[in-house]
Amino acid sequence: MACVPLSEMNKQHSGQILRLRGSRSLRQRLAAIGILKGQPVSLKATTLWGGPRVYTIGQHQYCLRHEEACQIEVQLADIADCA
Amino acid sequence: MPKRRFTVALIGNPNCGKTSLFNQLTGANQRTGNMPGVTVSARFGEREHQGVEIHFVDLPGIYSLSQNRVEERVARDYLHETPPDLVLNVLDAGHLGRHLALTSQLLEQGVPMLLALNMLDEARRNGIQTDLEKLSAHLGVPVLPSDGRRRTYLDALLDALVNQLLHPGEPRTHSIRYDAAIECPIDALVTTGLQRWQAVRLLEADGDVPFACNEVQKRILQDALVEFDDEDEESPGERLVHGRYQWIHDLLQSVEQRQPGQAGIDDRLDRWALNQWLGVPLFFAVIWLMFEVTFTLGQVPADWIDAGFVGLGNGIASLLPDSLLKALLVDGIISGVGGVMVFLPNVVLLFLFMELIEQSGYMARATFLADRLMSRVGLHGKALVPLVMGFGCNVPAIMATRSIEEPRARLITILINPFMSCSARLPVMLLLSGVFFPQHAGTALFGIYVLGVVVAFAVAMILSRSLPTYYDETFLIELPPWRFPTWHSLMLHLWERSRFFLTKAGTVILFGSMLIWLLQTFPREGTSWLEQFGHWLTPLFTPLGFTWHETVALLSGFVAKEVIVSTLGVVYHAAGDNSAQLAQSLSATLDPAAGLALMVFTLLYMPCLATMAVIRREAGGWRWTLASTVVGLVLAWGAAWAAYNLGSLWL
Repeated sequence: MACVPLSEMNKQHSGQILRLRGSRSLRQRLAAIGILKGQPVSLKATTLWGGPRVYTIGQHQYCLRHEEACQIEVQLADIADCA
Repeated sequence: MPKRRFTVALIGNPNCGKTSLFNQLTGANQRTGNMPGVTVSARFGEREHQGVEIHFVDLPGIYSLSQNRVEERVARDYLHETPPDLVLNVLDAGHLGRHLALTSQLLEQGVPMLLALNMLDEARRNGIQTDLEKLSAHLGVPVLPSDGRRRTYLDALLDALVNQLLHPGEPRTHSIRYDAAIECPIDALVTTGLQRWQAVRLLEADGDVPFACNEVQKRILQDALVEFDDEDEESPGERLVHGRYQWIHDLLQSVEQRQPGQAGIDDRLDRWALNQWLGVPLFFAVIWLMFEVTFTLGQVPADWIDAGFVGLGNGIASLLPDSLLKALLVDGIISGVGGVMVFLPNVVLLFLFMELIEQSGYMARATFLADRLMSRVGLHGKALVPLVMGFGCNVPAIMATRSIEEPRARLITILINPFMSCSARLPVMLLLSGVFFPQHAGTALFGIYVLGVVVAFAVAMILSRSLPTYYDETFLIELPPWRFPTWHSLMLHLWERSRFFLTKAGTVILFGSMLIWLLQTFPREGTSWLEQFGHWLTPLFTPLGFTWHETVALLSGFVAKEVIVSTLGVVYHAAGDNSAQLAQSLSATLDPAAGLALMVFTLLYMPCLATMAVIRREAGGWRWTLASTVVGLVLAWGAAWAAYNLGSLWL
C-alpha cells in the first residue's frame, strides 16, 4: 500500500505528507503549526498501551494521538504510486 | 518634550527562548498578571536604558494570529486593542522555516517590529548559517542576534530597541502573493474597504477577527468558504498558510545556508526518555530522586537554619526577664516562624528540580508518556503540567489549567489539583516523615506524593463519568529540543519562590504563630482557650489517633499549610530547644500509625484559603469550592482512618 494514514506508520517507514483530512479547523490547526503537505515524516516513539506517538515532521517532533494522526495521509518512500 | 516611556511586547512561537530573553531584559524586575478581560496570564517587566523607560510584556507563545486558541486570541486582541509601541518578535534561528510564519502575519499587519534571532549558536552547531543583514533587507525591519542564555547581545539589542522606539520611521506593510484562487476573495474584500491584511486575516480565521465586518464582507467570506468547502479541497485558511510557507521557503533560499551539522544528543536522550519500556519507570525514578534529594540534601542547610533559630531563641531568653513579651518572642514567634523557616532549603531544592524538569524539555516528554493514562481518567494530556506545578503551589497550578480549553477536562483538573501535595505541605511531610520513618524518610515522602496522585486520578475518574463533556480537545504538542536550563533563569525563579516563602513566613505564618500563642497562653489560669477548643473537637479526630495538639494544628492549616508546623511548635512548646524537641514530643505523643494518618490527612484535607479563592475564580463560583472542600475533608478523614488502622497492624 503506497499511502497510509500517519497513525499506521511504523519505525521502518519514512515518507511525506500527502494530504490533511478531517474537519476544517483541524486541518488549519495542523497547517498553522507547520504540519503541511510535502513535509517529510517518520515515526519516532510509541507507547506500550496505544497512547499518542511522537513523529518527526519536517525538523520538528510532534506528539499526536491516533484520532489526529489518522487524518494525515502519508505517501511512503520508495513506493512508486499512490492510490 | 519627547516621549520617554514605551511599551514593547515580546511575541514568538512556543520554545523560541522568548521568556529567557524576557528574563534577561527585565531581570528580577517582573511580575505575572492577567491579560485584560481574559484568563491567560502574561509577564510584565520594566527596564531603563539610555534614559528611556521600557515596559515589557511577554505574550504567551503562539504559532499564529489567526487560530482560535485562547493564547492566540489574547495576542491578537492585545495587538489590535492596545497596540504596543514596538513588537519584539523572537525567533529560533534554527527553525526559521516555521517561526517566520508568525513574522509574516505581523509584517502583513504593518506592526512596528524588531526581530531577535535567538539560539544562533545552536543553529550554527546544526550547520545553519543565517545572513541577518540580508534577512533585514528582505523584510524591511531590523534583525538582531539575541541570546536568552547569556548577556552577549543584550546591550546591542537594547540600543536597537531604544533607537527604534525614539525613531520609529514610517509604518510599512509587507504583502505576500497567494495563489490566484485565494487572491480573488482577498481582492473582493479589499474593494469593500478592508485593508489587505484584514482581508487575509478574515479568510484565514474563518471570520473570527477583532475588527468589525459589514454584511458584504461577511457574504464574500461565506462564498469563499462554500467554494472551498470540500474535504479534498484546501480551505482558504490552508491555502493562505501554504502561501506563507512558500514565501518563507523562497526567502530562506537567499538568506540561509544549511550544511550537515553535528549530530545532536537529542536523539540519544529521547531514546531513553521516550522508550516504550523504560520511559515510564524512568519518569518515576526522576520524581523519586527529586524527593530523595529534596529531603537528604536539604537537611544540611536546614540544620544550620535550625541552629541559628535555636541560638536566637536562647539569646533572647537569656537577655530578657521572664515576661509575656519574652514568651511571645521565644515560644510564639521564634518557635512558629523558625519551625517553618528551617524547611526553606527543602522548598528551594524542590523548585530547583521542578524547574530543571520544565526547562530541560523533559516535562513535554512526560506529558507524552502520561497522556494515555490521563485520557483514561478523563483528563487531557495537558493536565500533567498543572498537576506537576501543584507540587510547587496549587494557586498558580490552578491558573495554569487555563491552557486546557475543554471545560470538563479543565474543571476536573482544577478540582483535583489540591490533592497534589504543594510545597506548603512539604514542611509538614518532612517533619512527620523524619520523626516517624527516620530510616526511609525520602521514600515515605515519595509515597505520600504518589498517594496524592492516586487519589487525584480516582476522583478525576469519578468526575469524568459524572460531568458532561463538551468536545474532545485536540492533543497536539510539539516536543521542544533538550536544553540545558539557563543559570540566570533558574536563579531568578528560585529567588521568586524564596521571596514568596520568606514573605509568607514574615506575614501569614508570623501572624498565625502569634495568634496560636495567644490562644495557647490565655487565660493565664486553668486550661487555655486553644486546648479547650482542641478538646471540644478531638472526638472527631480520636479515631485517627490524633490528640488535641494535632487537631488545632490541622485547623490552623486552613490559613496556610505551613502554619501546621508552626502551630505544632507552639502547642508542644518546642521553642527554647531545637526542632529535635518537637520531634521528640511528637514521637512521644503519637505512634507511627497516627503519624502516618496525620500525613495522609494533611495531604488530602481542605485546600488553603488562597487555593479556595482561586478555585472559586477559575471554576466559576462557590459551588465547586464548597464541593472541593467537603470532598477533601471526607476523603481525608476516611483515608487517614484507614491509614491509622492498617498502620496499627503493620507499623
